[in-house]
Amino acid sequence: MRPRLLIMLALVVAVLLAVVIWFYPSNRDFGPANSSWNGLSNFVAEFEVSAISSLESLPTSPQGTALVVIAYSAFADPELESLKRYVESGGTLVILDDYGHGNQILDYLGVEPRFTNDPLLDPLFNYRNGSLPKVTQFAHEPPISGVDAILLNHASSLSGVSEDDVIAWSSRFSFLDQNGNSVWDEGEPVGPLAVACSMSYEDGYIVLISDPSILINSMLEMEDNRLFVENFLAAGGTSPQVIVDGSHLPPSPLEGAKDALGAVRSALETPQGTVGLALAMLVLMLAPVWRKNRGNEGGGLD
Amino acid sequence: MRRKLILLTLMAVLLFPTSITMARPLHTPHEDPATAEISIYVPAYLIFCTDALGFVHSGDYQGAASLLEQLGYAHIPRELVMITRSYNGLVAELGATLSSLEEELDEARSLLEDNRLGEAEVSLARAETLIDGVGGLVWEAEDATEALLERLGPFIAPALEGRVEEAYERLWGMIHRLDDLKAEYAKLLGVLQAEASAQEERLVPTGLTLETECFEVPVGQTITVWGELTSGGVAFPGREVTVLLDGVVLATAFSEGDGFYQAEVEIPFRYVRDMILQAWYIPTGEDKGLYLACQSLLVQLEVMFYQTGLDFTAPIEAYPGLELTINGSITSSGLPTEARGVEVLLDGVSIVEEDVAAQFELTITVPPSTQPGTHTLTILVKPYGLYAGASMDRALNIVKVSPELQVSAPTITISPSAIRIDGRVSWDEDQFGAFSGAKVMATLGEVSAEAETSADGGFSLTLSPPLDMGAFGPRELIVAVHPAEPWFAPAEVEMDTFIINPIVLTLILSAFFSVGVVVYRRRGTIGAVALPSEEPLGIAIPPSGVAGFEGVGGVLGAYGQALRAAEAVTGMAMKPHTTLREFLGLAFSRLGRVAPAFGELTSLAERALYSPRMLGVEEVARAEELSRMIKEELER
Repeated sequence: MRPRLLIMLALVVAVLLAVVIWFYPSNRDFGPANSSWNGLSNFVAEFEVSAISSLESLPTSPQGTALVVIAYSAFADPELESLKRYVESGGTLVILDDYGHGNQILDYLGVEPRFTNDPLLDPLFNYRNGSLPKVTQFAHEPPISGVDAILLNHASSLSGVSEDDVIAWSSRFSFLDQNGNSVWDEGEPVGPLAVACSMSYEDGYIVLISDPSILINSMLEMEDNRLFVENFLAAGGTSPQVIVDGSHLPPSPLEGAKDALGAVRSALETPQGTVGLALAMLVLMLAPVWRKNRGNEGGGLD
Repeated sequence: MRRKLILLTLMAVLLFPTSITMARPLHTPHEDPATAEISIYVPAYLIFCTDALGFVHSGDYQGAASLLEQLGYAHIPRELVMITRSYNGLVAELGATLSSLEEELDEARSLLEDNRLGEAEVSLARAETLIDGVGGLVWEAEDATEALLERLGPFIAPALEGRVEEAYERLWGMIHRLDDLKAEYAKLLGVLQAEASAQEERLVPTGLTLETECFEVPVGQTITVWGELTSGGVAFPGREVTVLLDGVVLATAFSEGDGFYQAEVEIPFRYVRDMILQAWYIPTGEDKGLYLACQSLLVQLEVMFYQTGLDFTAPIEAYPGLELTINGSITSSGLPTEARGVEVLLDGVSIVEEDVAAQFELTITVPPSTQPGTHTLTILVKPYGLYAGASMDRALNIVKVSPELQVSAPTITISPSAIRIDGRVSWDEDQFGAFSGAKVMATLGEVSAEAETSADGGFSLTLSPPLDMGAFGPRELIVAVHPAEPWFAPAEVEMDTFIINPIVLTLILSAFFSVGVVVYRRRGTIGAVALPSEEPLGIAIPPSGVAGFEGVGGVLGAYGQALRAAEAVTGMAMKPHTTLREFLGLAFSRLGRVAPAFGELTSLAERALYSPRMLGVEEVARAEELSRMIKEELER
């Protein structure tokens, strides 16, 4: 096969792949645009959430806002500082984590509670199996009101939480499956275990939920999850403007490819990029003519 | 080397995106609840039952009831729903029966402490019945526990048999403890019954009567009640008698030398039809070891007061932050009063309190924060002496006024340039007053601008979108008005404006122009090499020295001469891309009588050009003859 044909073929396939990737629906876990069972599209639509791709974009006056952080990748020091500044200035920081990096934030903020990062199982009060535990014990006072039960999905629990700060406990039949054998063994912590808490921090509030999955499309309408979410978002004041941090979600190859294509698109939308692309197209289109003319000048054609 | 490099590049381009889209995350933080696998853990059910019975045994009946209530949230397979419901129903009933038994025994003990033997005996009889009930329920629980284990059997995983056995043993242990508890209660009952018998033998019975000056009493009035306290049928002086109205102590009095007592009782301002009066004697001090308690018969009092009537009208609709007028009237079955206290509530929240006349008009302001929708407006007339209170509800629909928003904005915009937007907000000014200071926000993509409306509702603002090389085509322009007054609803207008970016436009035109140039140059180059010009086609005659080609040359030569004559007559030139047959088709109708001859000559020329067979002398002669004939005919 001629090299030129190979290059053309490769370009065509690359463009086709790029188009498929661009238009293929997002399947990222907790993806704000993902309308599948594991995405946050319903949460984003119903709570009018703005997604930010960097913690640098946090509002400078965070009063009346609630920032939802799903801590699935590590935080850099400037990011931790941004979060600290946000909550100190009056924002409500909602950290949802089960097996991620939430403790990194808590450590930086210097607060006592920690995510245990162990799977929480409830063999009795659950939906279909122990990994989907139902929580029915709540603080009687605000911030949680009107909630009878919530359903978690592969959750963890919280430790080091003051009794007064806990807003939800798992049942007395629940336990932390530290050795991963799905049954309770001697020495494994048993319920009730704190799964959600809230506390004031400087001028703002911190809310900790030991399961980010409560926000996903397939879970938001389960039991009273939606009302529970409404309640904890309003910990710092009713009807906050909700912001979700999209920069620490679980890595998704498809989303990575989409981001890369987005970056290319953004680059092409700059004046330099657009002019460069137009010039490249011109060069590609005129190259055969230019080559032929050069050949004629060299006397290659009679 | 160059080819290998190209192949490597090709593979990288193809495989990189494919591989990254096929890769899966290492750790899944959740599962789809709709497709989650169903599994149950049998020991948990047995532990649950044990815990519930444990609450019952410890006397924490509320804890047991709360735990059983939570069962609705437990995951129970369909096969086990009935048995678990029955079992927990049994536990709940056991808890409730034990709770009642405990209350009865406490009640009996308390009555015996006050020497109220008659009432204590009734209570002890009820407790005896309850103990029998508890025995039956414990027996049922034993049977139910065996049945529960039998039903759970198929769900027990071999690895969990040890744990199930352990949980089952604990459950049985708890049932046996409940049996012991029942025996303890039975023992306590026996003790109390013995105490009751002892009181009956040891203590002297007493008697008490109660009379009143009237049986129809207005609220707030004081009445005199009296009666006689006796012991063993004779006057029992110097003892305290308590008078109760609907179970509440209202007065006390001491019996005199003849056993008679008298007390003043004030009827409280409770606007009910009936009240029950009763007198009690409960021995205290040394009397406790000598006399039994007693109580009078019940006396029913008919309570008198004036009924109050209320009616009011209010608009069906109201606006947050605006005033609302209520007209109403208060009537009563008694004499008219000068003023009555009235309270107005919206959804149970007090808005205003005022004293009003029988015919009244109240103006209230709807709280600005009231959300649109149906609300409940309540008017409450407070009770006043002999006059009872009254209240009435009406539905009130809270609405907001939707102002009309007119916007003028360019439909085509050159980017980057400022976009001026003018508009006006109109409304019913007579009814809703001035409208100024409303925030207007215009948004085009990520660019927005704000302004405020003037006194006449007009506004003007300018959007300044930055240079955006991607801006080309229709974009949605949203203009929204957020009024400051709570009775106005926000208004929004969406419209399309076509953005033209001259740089992008120039680039696109350049691209089209370039394509045009390429196409034009390619066509020109091909013409120069293959066919020198748009001149009529000259037929190239094969060289005469070549063997077998003499005939071909002769036929083509003849065709060429005839072709030139045909071109001259028809005015049609044979183009470089026109075949002989195409030319024949085009010129046939204009050749008149020579058309068939030209057709035959065309066939001979085609054979000369394309046929592998060499033409014969006769065919060459025929071609020359046809050519000559055509030329002569056409030149004529």
